[in-house]
Amino acid sequence: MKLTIQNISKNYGNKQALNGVSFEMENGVYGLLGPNGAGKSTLIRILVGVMEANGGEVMVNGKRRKPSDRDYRSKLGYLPQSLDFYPEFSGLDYLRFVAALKGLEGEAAESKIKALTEQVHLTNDLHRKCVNYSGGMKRRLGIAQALLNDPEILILDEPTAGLDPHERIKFRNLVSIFSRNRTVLLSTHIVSDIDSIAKETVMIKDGKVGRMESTQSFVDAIAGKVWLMKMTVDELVEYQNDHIISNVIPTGDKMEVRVVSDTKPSADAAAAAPTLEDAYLYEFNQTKGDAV
Amino acid sequence: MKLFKYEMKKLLFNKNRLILLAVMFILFTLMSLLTSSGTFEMRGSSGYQEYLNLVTEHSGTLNPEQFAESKQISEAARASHEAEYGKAENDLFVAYLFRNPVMKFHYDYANFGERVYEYWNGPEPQDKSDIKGFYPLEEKLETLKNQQDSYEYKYYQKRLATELSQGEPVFANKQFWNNFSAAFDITRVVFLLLMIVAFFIAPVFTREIKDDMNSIILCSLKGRREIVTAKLLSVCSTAAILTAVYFAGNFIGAFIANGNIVGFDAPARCFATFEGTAIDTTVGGIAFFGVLWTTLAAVVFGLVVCLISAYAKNQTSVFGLSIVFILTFSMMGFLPDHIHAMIWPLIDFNFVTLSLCGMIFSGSTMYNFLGMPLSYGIAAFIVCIALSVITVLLTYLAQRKRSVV
Repeated sequence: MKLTIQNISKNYGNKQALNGVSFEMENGVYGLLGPNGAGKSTLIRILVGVMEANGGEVMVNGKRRKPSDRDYRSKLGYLPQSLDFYPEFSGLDYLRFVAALKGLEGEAAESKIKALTEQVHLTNDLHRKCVNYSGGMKRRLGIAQALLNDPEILILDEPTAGLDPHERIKFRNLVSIFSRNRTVLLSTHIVSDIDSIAKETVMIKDGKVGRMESTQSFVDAIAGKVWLMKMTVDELVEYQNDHIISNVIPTGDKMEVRVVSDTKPSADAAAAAPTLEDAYLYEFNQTKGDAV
Repeated sequence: MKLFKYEMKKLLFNKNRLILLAVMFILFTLMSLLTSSGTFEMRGSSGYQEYLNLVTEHSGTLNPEQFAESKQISEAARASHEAEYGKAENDLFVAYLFRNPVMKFHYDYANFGERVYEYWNGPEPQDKSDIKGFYPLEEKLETLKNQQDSYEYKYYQKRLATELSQGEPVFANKQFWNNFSAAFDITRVVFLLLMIVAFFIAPVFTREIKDDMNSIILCSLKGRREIVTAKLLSVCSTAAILTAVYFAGNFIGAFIANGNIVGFDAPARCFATFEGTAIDTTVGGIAFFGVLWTTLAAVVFGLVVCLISAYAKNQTSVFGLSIVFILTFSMMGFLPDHIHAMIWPLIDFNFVTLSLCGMIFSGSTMYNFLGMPLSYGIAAFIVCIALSVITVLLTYLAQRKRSVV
């Protein structure tokens, strides 16, 4: 499976949300990273065919995808950023409804629902009304519906929002196993969601693709640019205004500050091993009050 | 089929909606019961059995002697009532009749006699542009005998044939059916049926926006076409079920008040809503036909609401717009004649008028279709089908073009 995004543009009135976005995906997990408002959700909506682009096209295995393409839709699994449920539906009703939407019926649908609900730990809650689910349970139900048709292309928009750390790890493992022969695009602004599983990461900002490289390449690119240094709280308040700070840990009466900088920020600063989070901050040069 | 089942669950078969439906059923029954309360009063009075005996005894074609007697008695009673309470107090006179069943028989028989007279001689004064009555129709055709290819000749010929096939009115006990006929009244149909259909169907598409389900539906294999089929079927089924509940409530309310459905086998023209009908059947048959027609009209209206829902953003705007349409079309009947002449298709064939089977099937309205007289009923049926096809196609188109912003 080869998914090609070619020169996609999208305008909302005078505002350009996407400007000539191009990249290619094959099997494996692809991370889509970018700050809020960067155009990630717009790109994803165009990819899943629920929004028309103003320009450019999406190709599947070299063939242009039309909005009415049933074959494409049959291969697609999608978890939108914003997801709510019918108040009168139980979890089981909801999954059966989505299964019917995806053309799964009878025993095939039932066995798939059973397997998936076990994987997302919802078996015991399937007969409860969805509206009574917690945020994390709703998200897990959303993940289950996206996987119902065993999709060749899985697109997940902020999938881990609302999940606790344990659930996030479980989710990452699930996606990782699932992605063996499939294409997974995982959009997030939570860097840790993708740093261990993404084959490649697409950085998107202001509607443009900044870079698309393997996760390790992003990390390697900032080797020697991450530093640890200590300072007082008063110094930190001043310092963070014009430096990229990726982490702050209180140590005694001082703060241990993790700084991303091209040059050594002070004589006593020590070099540190970079992470994808550092690379993300460096890429987008988020300085003011964005310590993640 | 699975999708249809879930669409029905969203639209009707869920706890809140079923409770609302049960409340509506009780309301319909109570409304019918209350409007039939005169019958209750009559059943409790001592002369009720005598009334039944008189009606049974005089059932059938007109007895001129009885007509003369009943006319004299009822006119005297009315004159005496008016002398006491004044001319404007008609409701009091009706209440008086229900307390005096024998007097009510004379009043009913006198009215029946008038209708028989009108059947043969037409109303007074006669509308020269639309002749009514058996003899005036014969005379009119005689004057047109040299223009047998004209639309006017064909029109009156068809009218006369209808009157001949129906025959003159007959007298029958039809108290239950008179009460039940209120279910076909414009006020009830508009406020107790169409508005409820609009309320139930308004969220059919907009709730996918409210519940953030649009994206998942639209990118699914069956999310552009099959889901619309399921929604359209659920809309038709919901409208039909609501109509069935509406008529069931009205029927039961009238039945509780009367305790019988006597008169169901009398000629269709005995049914209050269909006094001028051209359909050759019984009271029970025409009532059943009226229920079927109203169901069809409610389904068509449901499809229109569904179409609005497919293009709107929220349930409130769909319901609001539907109410605006209902009220606007309801008030169109009060427009002056010169405006009516300009926009008659909109007045005669809007979905409020289409839901009033009494108006469509009780009169003698015909349309000049390529020189041939086309009855209102057939024209209305064609419009219903055309309106359904157009709304269905536009609804499919709306879902095909739908996007998430």
